[in-house]
Amino acid sequence: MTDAPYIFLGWGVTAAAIGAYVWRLLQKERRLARLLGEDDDRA
Amino acid sequence: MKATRLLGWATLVTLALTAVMALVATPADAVQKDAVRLLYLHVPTAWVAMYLSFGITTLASVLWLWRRTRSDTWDLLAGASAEIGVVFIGLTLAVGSIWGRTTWGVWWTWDARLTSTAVLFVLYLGYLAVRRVPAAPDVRAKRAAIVGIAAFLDVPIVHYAVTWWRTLHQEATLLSPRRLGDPEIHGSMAWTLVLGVLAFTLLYGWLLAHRFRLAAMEARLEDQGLELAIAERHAEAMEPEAVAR
Repeated sequence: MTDAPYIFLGWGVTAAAIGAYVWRLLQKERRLARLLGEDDDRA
Repeated sequence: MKATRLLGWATLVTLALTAVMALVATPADAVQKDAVRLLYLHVPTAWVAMYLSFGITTLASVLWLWRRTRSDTWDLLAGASAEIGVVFIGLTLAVGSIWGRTTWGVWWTWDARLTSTAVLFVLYLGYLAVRRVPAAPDVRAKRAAIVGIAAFLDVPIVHYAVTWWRTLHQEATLLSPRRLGDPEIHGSMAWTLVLGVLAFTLLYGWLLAHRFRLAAMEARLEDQGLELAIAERHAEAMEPEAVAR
């Protein structure tokens, strides 16, 4: 399967980018919720 | 919230199913062979970015500009949706480029579809930059709404680029105007593509719920900071009077 590296790269890049965005979003959301004294139990 | 958590689990399950179907269960394409497995990512990311995210940004911007429906909620929603759209249009370009390398032999070409999509990416990056320019909340919201609506004018150009011009990029797989009701994709390949679109739509909903909550909290903090700054200035102004007495 000569296309394998490209398929791996495409799916890998997508998973990494979405994972990083979700992680950053949840971290920021938790930090602000704590700062504002809101409950932090929504993720 | 319970609904957001449920949406999160539904998103995870459909994304996992899409990955299994796309990478294991579906057959290779007769022409593109295994490279077709990138289709199940490329189309859903484009759908989320161009039509869902930027569509919601435009709709919310119109609702903010229209005096009868004006509310800070629309401004926050527009900004939250645009940020998600920028992430997904970036992914559309990245996966498209990888797919192009294996099928066309090049990472990039100045094809009408690719170029207009790159322009869309830059336009919404500009929209996010406009939102960060310091200004009174209403002034900032108005500027952002106008830029958000103007940027959306590129979406129909991206959509019809493959029919208006001779391009290297293939026509729409599911919604080609020439083959409505008779798409070029069938069976498990078609269902996997539909499942991918559903999974990424759920992901968009989950991301939007979280990004909107974050935007609302940022706005509250900004208000609190403003109130604190006004109180500080007020105290400073009162100080010389106290010294004079």
